Amino acid sequence: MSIRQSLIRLLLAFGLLFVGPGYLSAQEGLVEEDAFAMPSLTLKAFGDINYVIESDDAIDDDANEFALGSLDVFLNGDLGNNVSVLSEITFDFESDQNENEVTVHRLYVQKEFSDLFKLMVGRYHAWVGYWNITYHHGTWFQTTVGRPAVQSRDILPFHSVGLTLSGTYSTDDLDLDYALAIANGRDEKRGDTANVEDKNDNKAFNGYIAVSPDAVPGLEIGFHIYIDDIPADRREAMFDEAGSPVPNPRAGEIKELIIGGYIAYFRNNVELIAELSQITHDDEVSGEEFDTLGFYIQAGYQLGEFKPYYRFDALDFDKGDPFYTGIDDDFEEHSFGLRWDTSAWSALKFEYQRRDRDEKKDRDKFVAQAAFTF
Amino acid sequence: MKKSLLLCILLAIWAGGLHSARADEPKSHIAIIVNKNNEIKNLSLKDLTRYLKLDKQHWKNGKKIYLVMQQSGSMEKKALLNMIYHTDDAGLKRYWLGKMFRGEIVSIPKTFNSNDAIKKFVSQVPSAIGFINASDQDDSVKAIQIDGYSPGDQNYPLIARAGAE
Repeated sequence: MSIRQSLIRLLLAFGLLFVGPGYLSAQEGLVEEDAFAMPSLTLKAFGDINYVIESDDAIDDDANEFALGSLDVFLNGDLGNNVSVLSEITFDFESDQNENEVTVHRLYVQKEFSDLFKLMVGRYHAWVGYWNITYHHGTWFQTTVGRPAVQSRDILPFHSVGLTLSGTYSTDDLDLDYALAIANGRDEKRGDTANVEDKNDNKAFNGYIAVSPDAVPGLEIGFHIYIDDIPADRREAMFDEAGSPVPNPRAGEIKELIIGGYIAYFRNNVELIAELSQITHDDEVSGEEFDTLGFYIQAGYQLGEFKPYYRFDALDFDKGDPFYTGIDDDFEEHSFGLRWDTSAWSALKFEYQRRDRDEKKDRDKFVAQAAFTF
Repeated sequence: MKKSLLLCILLAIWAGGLHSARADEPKSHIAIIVNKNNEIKNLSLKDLTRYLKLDKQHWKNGKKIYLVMQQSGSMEKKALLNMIYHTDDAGLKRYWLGKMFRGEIVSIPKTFNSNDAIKKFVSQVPSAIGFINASDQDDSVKAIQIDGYSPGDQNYPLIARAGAE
């Protein structure tokens, strides 16, 4: 689909929304809520444009190129009576095809009953870690150029389509955020979400809790759990080099259990995030169990307009996991970077990444990124 | 040795003068105002912070609060940027944008350009909450206590110093 076609479809789809003055006016005769007022719409966009220099001896191909990142269109609307709608649509550019892909990453409607109870239904970012629920796809928000390795849709179930109950409970000493969700879960293909059809009718359960103690302002500690049955993938028959059929390792379902936690600290110019997720796969075909571990720690310090930062990423795959076939090369990565806030709503980032891989040669990468919001 | 002692004495006098000057700086109390029909009378500073940061968005009666802000540059806003939000204007805008992006709020709080405009709005919207210079408060709105102290009390926590950045 071309960019033009995507934009036309987007405009037509949201042309039905009325951009009105909102249901409250600061003029005269104010009422708290006008049942006949039009819904208000907020439209924001986030984007990034990159320059990449990459040296990857494993594939004997060096990169030296400008690269469009993504355009993230964010819309939300107040529908009145504590009901709101939110949507996040991205136009991404695939690195190996030079083509544009449009994805509705989030689309949900939410009803707020109180601070403690909010009910949301639709497509949302799964509650599987700090990064996914904080930064979503807004590269301008995050300090670094890209996401941590474990926070990749190839590793974790990024998105869910389902129902979430969430809220905040406050005491004199802390704030506690929670979310309980039931959703379609993953689709059969790694990286995909069951947006319309749940291939195995088994629902995914997702729980999340985070605590912010008053005793340590800026600190947040969170935990998540995700339970799902990944559908079997029987789309393609498997053959060996001689053309003989071979057993499909994905012919059965995979029971998935993800548990993880994080610590995040943002205070007095200091940024510190440490996050870990363990993904356990119980494979129906082989009868074996596989444990994959992903971890990162990121630190930064704001110095006026500049923020130097460092991140350490690690992925440790349990070899033989049929769900991660083709990507299960363990690695550790060091990223050093500098973020420069060139204005209130734009930033330049300069980042060097060194990936040490177990089975392949190491990779060096330099990225300069312009990230912005408007 | 004598020179060092003299220098220390001069520095002490200068520092004392600074403290005295600071203590004598004109100070204003920032009143947190709500609609007169709002039952709330007192908030802890912690709870007030939660409301002003929209970490808490509902009054005890279940009504959603309607937070209104002062425009950039006002003394009252500077005071709260320092005491409540711990950031500057640009940082606060990023804070609101982040909350909106995460789906925690639907829109950025409305901004008014004067204490009178805020008073008028709060007086007419039952669930509204705002902040003004306590000297501008009148009977059209209700100023709530913070940690049991009213604007004007010696231990009232929300103080703005004239000329403070």
